[in-house]
Amino acid sequence: MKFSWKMILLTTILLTLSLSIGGYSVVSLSFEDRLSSQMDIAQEEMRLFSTMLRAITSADQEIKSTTELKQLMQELTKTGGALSSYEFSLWDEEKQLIFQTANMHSDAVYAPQKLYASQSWISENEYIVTTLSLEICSLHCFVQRENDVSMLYLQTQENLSRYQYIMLAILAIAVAMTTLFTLVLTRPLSKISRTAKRLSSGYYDRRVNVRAKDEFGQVAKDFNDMADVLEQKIAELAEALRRQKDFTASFAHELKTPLTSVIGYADTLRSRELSAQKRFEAADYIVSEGKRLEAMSFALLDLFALERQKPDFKLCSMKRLSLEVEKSCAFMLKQKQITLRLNVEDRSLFVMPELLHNLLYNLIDNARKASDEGSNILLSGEMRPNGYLLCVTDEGRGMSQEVFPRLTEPFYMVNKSRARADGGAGLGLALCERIAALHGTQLRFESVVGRGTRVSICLGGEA
Amino acid sequence: MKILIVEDERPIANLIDLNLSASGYQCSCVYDGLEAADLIENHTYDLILLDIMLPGASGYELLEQIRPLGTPVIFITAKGSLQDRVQGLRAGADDYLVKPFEIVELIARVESVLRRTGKTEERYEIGDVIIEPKSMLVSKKGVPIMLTHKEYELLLLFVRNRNIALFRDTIYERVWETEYNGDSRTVDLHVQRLRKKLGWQKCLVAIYKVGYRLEA
Repeated sequence: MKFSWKMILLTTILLTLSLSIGGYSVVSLSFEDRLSSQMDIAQEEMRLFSTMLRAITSADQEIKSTTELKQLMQELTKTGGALSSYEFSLWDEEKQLIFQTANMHSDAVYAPQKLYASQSWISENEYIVTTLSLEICSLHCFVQRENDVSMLYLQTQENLSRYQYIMLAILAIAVAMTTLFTLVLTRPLSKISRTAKRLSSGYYDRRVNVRAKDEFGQVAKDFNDMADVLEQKIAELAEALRRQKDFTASFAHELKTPLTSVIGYADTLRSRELSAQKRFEAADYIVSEGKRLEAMSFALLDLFALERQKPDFKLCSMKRLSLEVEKSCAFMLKQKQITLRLNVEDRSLFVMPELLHNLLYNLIDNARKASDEGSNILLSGEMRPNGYLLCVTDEGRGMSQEVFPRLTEPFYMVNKSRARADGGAGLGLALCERIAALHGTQLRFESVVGRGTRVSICLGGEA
Repeated sequence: MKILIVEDERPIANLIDLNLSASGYQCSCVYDGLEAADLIENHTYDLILLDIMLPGASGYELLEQIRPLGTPVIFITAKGSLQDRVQGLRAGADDYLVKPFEIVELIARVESVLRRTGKTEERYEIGDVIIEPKSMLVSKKGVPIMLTHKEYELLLLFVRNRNIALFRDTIYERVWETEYNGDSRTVDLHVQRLRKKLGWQKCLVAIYKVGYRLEA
């Protein structure tokens, strides 16, 4: 059931209940009021009447029996008599009817016990019947009179039916108002619903435009926040998927290229008679391309192993780490007569020493590849306010800023043929970036073409 | 027959050069897209082998430049998906060679493209044997020789791959066009008959345990 229907139903039930109870009680209370005031009037009239009756009858002292009294009353009520315009009945001590005027209905009298006390009640035919006990000429008797209140009943009945029409009108207006209100109030909800549908059909940038400050507005705001988070997550997933795809495509390409050479040259060697020179060249290609495949497989294995690496932080002296790195780089640097200078402030940090060693080795290897023979590479480390900064700086050929974002992509090479000649697979910096990420930081590149490059990593975990 | 090889991977460029040169083609190698564009502008080639991912200018860009010249092009690429092939062929390449490839396949594709585009004189002369594929005529010293269909196919395979050792499985798969099941007798039998009919006992050399090579 729609929310507006529920609201309408609820309003109708509540209004009907409250209006009927309220209206009925108001009408019946006013009826009671008027009835009791009518009774007061009836008693007052009765008192006046009885006074008059006694005054008239006080002259006839000789009346000793009810028969005589009856005759007297007949006299008095005759046309032109003193009581001719009054309606009443007269009853004796034994509650036997003595006399009654033409228009009286009562057939019995309910007498008050005390003398000169009056009592009123409502008879079945909507009359206020008032009885007074009194003495007429020393005869104890009861006078009864009737006041017609059927008009009062009729009016009340009329009031009630009029009130029903008013109630129906109020209900109609209330239903209309409720419908309008629920529509206005639930508009944010239907907006949210529409937006949710758009979202689920792939338009992740859709948002709800609701200005209301109430709970619905809050729901809309929360919905928008959720959509923001969702959109971001989906974008991240799409990005991860794209990287995965790129990786697979690059991997296939990087795998096929050396494989083509290895298979092709081996096939040529087995099928053709080649000169000694050509045979040597072919064999040489097989070896070098095979080595390229090997280097790539190992780098990939390292990369995959890092994906599953559990954090294993140890307290490690930066001075000692850099000395170890210097030792392992010594051989490859010597071939190009490159000097590695160390300027490392000694601090002990919580790091993963083997991985950090690997990272520095790779950075120095990259610096070596970019450097000319006989140049310098600087490995520096210093404490900064935001952490410990490790830098590898070379005086090599440098690179332009545009390539920075792609540097850490697997298989990306700034200069493919030169990287190939150096035996690179384009995985070194991807590896370094992973290691940096495991340390909760990332690589930073600064470079000037022809002047050199500085790669830095800022470690935050000082002991 | 001049062939230009555009491929940034030197080992692969040299591999193609080595094999096509040995089959009697005149090859030049270029390792960069822009250099290739220069060469194409200033020289005429009968066939261009083109890598798609090239530094300087991509294979597709070079193809745009080549098309008006009418020079046939074979794409060489590691991208072997159906979509890539269709894209390459749509762009106007005459054939598609996916890395890694076998030497026999390389030569077969080069020959077939040259044949299709009418670049080869459809006539082979090996010693005193003349083969004219257009009319399917084989003659020795002017005397026509009758060959069965398979023998003729086998002869063409040898002639087109002169000085290359052809392995039995390769021969079987090329001529009979089904997968080699290890039964070497069919191939051996046909080679025997071909030798006898053409008098090629000496130049159609058996390579121990491997296959045959036409030395010419």
